[in-house]
Amino acid sequence: MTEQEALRKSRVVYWTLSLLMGLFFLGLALLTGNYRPTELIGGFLWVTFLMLIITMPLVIPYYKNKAK
Amino acid sequence: MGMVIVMETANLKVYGMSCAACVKKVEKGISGIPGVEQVVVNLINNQVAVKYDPQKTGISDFARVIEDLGYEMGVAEYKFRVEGMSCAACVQKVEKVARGFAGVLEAVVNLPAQQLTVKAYEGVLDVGRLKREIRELGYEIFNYEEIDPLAREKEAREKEIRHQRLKMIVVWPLAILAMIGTMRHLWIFKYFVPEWLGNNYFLMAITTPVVIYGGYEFFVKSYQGLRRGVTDMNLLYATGIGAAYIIAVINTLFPNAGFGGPKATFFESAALLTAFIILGRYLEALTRGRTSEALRKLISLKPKTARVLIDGVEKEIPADEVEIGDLVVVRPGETIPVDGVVERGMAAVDESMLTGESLPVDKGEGSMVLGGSIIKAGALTVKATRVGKETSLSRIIKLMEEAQTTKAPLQKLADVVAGNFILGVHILALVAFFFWFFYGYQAFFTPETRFLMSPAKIAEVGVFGFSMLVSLTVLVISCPCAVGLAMPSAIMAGTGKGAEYGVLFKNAEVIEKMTKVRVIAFDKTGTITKGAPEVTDVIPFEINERQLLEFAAVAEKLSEHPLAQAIVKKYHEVNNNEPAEPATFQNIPGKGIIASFAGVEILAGSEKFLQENKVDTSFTSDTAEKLKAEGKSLVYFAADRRLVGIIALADTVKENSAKAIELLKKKGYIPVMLTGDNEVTARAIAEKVGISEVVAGVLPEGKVEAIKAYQGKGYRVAMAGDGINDAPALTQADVGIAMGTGTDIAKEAGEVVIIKGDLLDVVNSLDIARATFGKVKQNFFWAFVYNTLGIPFAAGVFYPWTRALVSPELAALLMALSSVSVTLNTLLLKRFKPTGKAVG
Repeated sequence: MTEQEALRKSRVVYWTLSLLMGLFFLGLALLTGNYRPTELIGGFLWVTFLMLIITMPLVIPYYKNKAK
Repeated sequence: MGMVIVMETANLKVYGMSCAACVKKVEKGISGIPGVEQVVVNLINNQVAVKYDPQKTGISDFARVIEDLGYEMGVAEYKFRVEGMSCAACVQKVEKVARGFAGVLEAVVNLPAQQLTVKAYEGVLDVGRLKREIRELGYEIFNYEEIDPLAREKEAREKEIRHQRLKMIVVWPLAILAMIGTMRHLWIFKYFVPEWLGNNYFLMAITTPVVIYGGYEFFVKSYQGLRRGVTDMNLLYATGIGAAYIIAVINTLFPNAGFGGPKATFFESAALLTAFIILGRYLEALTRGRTSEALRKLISLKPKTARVLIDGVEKEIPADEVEIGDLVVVRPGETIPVDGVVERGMAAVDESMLTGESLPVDKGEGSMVLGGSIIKAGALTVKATRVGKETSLSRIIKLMEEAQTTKAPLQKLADVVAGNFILGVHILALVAFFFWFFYGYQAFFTPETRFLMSPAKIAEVGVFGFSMLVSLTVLVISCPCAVGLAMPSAIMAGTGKGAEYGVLFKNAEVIEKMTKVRVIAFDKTGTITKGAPEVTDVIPFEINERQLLEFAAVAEKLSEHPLAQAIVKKYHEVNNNEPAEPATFQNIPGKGIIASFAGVEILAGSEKFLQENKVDTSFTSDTAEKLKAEGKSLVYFAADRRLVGIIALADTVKENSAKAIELLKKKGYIPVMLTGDNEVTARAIAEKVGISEVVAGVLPEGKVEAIKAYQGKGYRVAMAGDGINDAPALTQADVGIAMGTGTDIAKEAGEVVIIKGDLLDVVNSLDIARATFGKVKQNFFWAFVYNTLGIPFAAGVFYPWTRALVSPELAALLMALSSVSVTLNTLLLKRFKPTGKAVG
């Protein structure tokens, strides 16, 4: 696996994980409370964004090491 | 059989790193390159040391990654005068050779000016090798002008200060305006703050340049890092500033969007957050350079030119082109450019920056002088013995630079903590957001909610805005910026302090290890003692003392034995003339001398040698026994087979040895003497200096065993020695302390070098190590205390009781305070005075 392939693969993984977390937030919000749509969208974006920041430094080096 | 891989090390200069996470980011980024074995980053002197396999990767790969991460590779420009080029082909040849060097970005020859300009990554180009290779092509090459590395470093720091100052000038007035505008409706502000200042569109207009101009580098650098899978403090800033700004803009442009409406715009949060971070960076840039002053002073001692005698005529040439054997002329006020031996002249020389010796030292014909020392009075002609990178000064500088690039175990731990902290902080921010969004807001929120230390209420913020605020503040307050400064700044100040007192620490780890040492083992000869015999007693029979000394000096004049030389030296001290030459001279190795002078046959040597030659020595036995018990060596003299006297010699104790041992004992250390000498001599010396534990008559392996025995008892052992035979013990000990007056092998084996060889400096080295490491611990405290205390407040742990939150701007202020506290605390080390020096 080349470095470019590793980066591509990791991109798919961290985006998937982050979107899943965002969706989890949405699901939980829809189930538990009466939130306004803007709060749901804002929360979804913030959670997905934080998850991206959390997963990128974990996933990218993992795949890069595999490529090494 | 596998191929042997020869690893290379490149020391790169990288600018733009500001915190521990930048260090981690660069280390991680470069470590990811195939073929890289080890990366060590020193934040303070902007140095990145990379150990790599040159078959697999190279400097251009490191530079690419560093620049991709958003940092700047230092570039140096070298100019040379190349003589002998006549055409375009010569130009091509020279340029091609120069471009072939690792790290060279550009090599251009200006044929009419006979000038070669090489641009290369700083610290990478081997100028000596480049010159050699060009000379091999048949051209002459000289340093045309080499831009001073000190000036370059200073320039880089000044550029950073200017950059941050400009940002402060733009950002702070706007941020204060934004704060006043936001608070217009509070307290008495409404009476004198115009209404337009509190208008959200106006606030947006003044906050936007603050965020874009002031925060630009945070956004760019965090994106560059994230793209490669690494994070740093910039990410925390970018998230904090960006999120606060976006929420404020949405609430201004779309007040009904549900994020808290027009009264929940936090423009002042975004603006002040940016302003405080820039203030922190500015203060850091101002104070950071001050810790490496000692190293800079040492570098500044290197003279650029030297006056060399060529065919009896003085010619000024670049100092690094002086060759061994050249005669260098140095005048009052000038710096000696190379190490050497005085050929002619007398001078008082200031060696304080090299040895810590504060008083000028007199130098005359035959004296050794060190490059970097300054002539206070007089003039010298010096024959160069060590030049270029081999001079003592160059080696001290190299050792200090290397020490400052290494990391103590505690630092490695701190880097891991700081590196993972950011990840942990984002997880914490996510958890805090979930908690306050789904539970906390409904359970605890009241419209009376305020920011800590601020009268501003945040009543209309809404569930999303409230949870987001908590989440943001957690991100900002947790930033462990100061962790990256904590150890390197203290190590740099400590190694500098050491150099001031003539103590060189070769790495950061040894400073940490020295604080744990309990037993200090000393070699005897050359460490506790001067290592050269001196005449202690002159005992004449039938003649007087003066006559015996004259008689002995004549006999010993042609001998090279150390005892003979000590006797001749004593003669010189008493008389101001040379002893006469013997008429005949015969050296009998291992026994003595038979010489004749003025018709008298002289025998000089051991008692046994004289007895073999039928000289009666029996009546001296009492005196001899007494002197031997004091550890002295005896030389017997006979004239025409009649004993005329005995001269006793001993290796004398260095002036400060006893004081140093006394101080060490007072401080709770256990001094031990390890020597290959016999028990009687060893005990006599040990008694003089106050050492009670003596291991005598041991070979080098015996010294190692003795150290192992102490280590087996659970002690950390330091060994101080100077000889080749001490090298194994210096390596076995937890800390090897080499005497700078000793052999190169010992200096290589030791991790600490005492330049003057004075035992009081051993005390100093222990004191400095303790003080430095104490500073490191205090710095870690200051680096973490604000974050650790601040996180629970920021996460809203106390909110149910206080109804108050930490504002993002207060979090940023605490963060800036943390870096400033660390730097100021380190600067206090400058005032530290070790006890050894005070006594000396």
